[in-house]
Amino acid sequence: MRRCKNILRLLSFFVFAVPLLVTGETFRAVDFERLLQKHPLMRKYDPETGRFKETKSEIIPVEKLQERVASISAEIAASEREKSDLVLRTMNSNESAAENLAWEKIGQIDRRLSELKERLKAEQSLLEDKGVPGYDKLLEIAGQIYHETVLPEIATGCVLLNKLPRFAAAPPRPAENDLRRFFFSRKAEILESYLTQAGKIALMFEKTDRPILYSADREVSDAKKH
Amino acid sequence: MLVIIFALILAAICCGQSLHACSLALHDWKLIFYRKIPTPVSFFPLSELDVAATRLEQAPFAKVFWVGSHNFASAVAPAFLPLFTDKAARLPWAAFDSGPSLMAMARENYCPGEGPLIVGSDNTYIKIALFADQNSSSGCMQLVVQQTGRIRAVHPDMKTPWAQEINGSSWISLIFYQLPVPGRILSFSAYPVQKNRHSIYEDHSYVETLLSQRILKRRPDLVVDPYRFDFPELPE
Repeated sequence: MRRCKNILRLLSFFVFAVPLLVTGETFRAVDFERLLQKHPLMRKYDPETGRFKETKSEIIPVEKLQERVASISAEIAASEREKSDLVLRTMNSNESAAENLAWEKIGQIDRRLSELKERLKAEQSLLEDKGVPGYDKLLEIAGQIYHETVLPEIATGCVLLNKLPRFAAAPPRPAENDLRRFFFSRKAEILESYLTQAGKIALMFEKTDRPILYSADREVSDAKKH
Repeated sequence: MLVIIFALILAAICCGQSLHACSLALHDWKLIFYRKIPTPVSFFPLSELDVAATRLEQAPFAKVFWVGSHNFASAVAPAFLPLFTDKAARLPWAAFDSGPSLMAMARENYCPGEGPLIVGSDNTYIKIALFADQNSSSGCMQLVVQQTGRIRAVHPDMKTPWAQEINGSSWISLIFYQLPVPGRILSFSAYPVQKNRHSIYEDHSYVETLLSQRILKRRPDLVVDPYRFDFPELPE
């Protein structure tokens, strides 16, 4: 059954490629998975969590977040106190020069407060989600990797083919467990390991199971359709 | 005339049902007309109301003194504020002409009890901009009227005296196809209304028609946050 599927996939490759050749469109073939893995950000990919380390997508422990929230809240309270004292002093002073200076200082404190409140909001939102950043953060990084990987490849041609489309049901484990490795070794356990991975990569890079990665008449803008 | 326009806009803002904004089309706005006109004071205190509403969440006050070089439109504008649902909009707003400094006014009102919030507007400009959508061969257009200015606020609160300085910005936006006439209007919105862009009117079926005729470009899902569909930043 699986062999039949592979044959069908191979056939689909020709179904796409032959008409392109007939119509004279230029095309290139790449191993999309390999290209993805060459991207520096893919080295930060943690297969256990399905997130990229040291990025906005990384899962942060709740305790660490609580510490951050407490620290930012304390900073906000201190800045508010500083501003309040300044306002009181300025109200009690009759000098216009002091007032101008006070407004300048108030502006500075406000900018600092605004920055702190933004940070607090982000940390509190993350804390509400138990430290797990939203899927959109993961997609942002996936989108970046995709664009930085595919765009240089399409600079010279109008159709980009994926040499080894991913099995639709099972995503690869980055770095070591791609499909190419199985074809070289022909070891069942490598394929099994490949197949047992959860759909993390598939969620981010859907196009890894498609034979055509880019065509000039389609758009390369949809992060979800990678 | 201005008062009537503001009244109509306000009535639309307050009575109109909150709608999901036009998130179907993908626009590529190009600025084709721009004018920046200095004005003595804000025509309508939307940003000032936003400042007052934010402060009221932290500390109570009984009234608002709005200080600036007022004209007839700005002097009567506070009369329309109770149409808004913000608590701060329901407080008495009194328009004061610029005279003594805000801090001096605060000093005069520094006494026990719920004092006023003193809000000053200056360096005010009206920016009028017209954008053309490159994705629809300039068929779809957006007219923006933005009001910017420096807003300073002082609250002579006995417990925690407070002041703030921000660059206020409020605007109305009209998106239309070819002509700004009924039947060709895609959306009409205002900002800030309760700190957000408020969609007053939207014609989704018209947008769908233009999309199906490939006049407008369909917004790809997940590429752009569908709730971010503002105009590019206006020049200074």
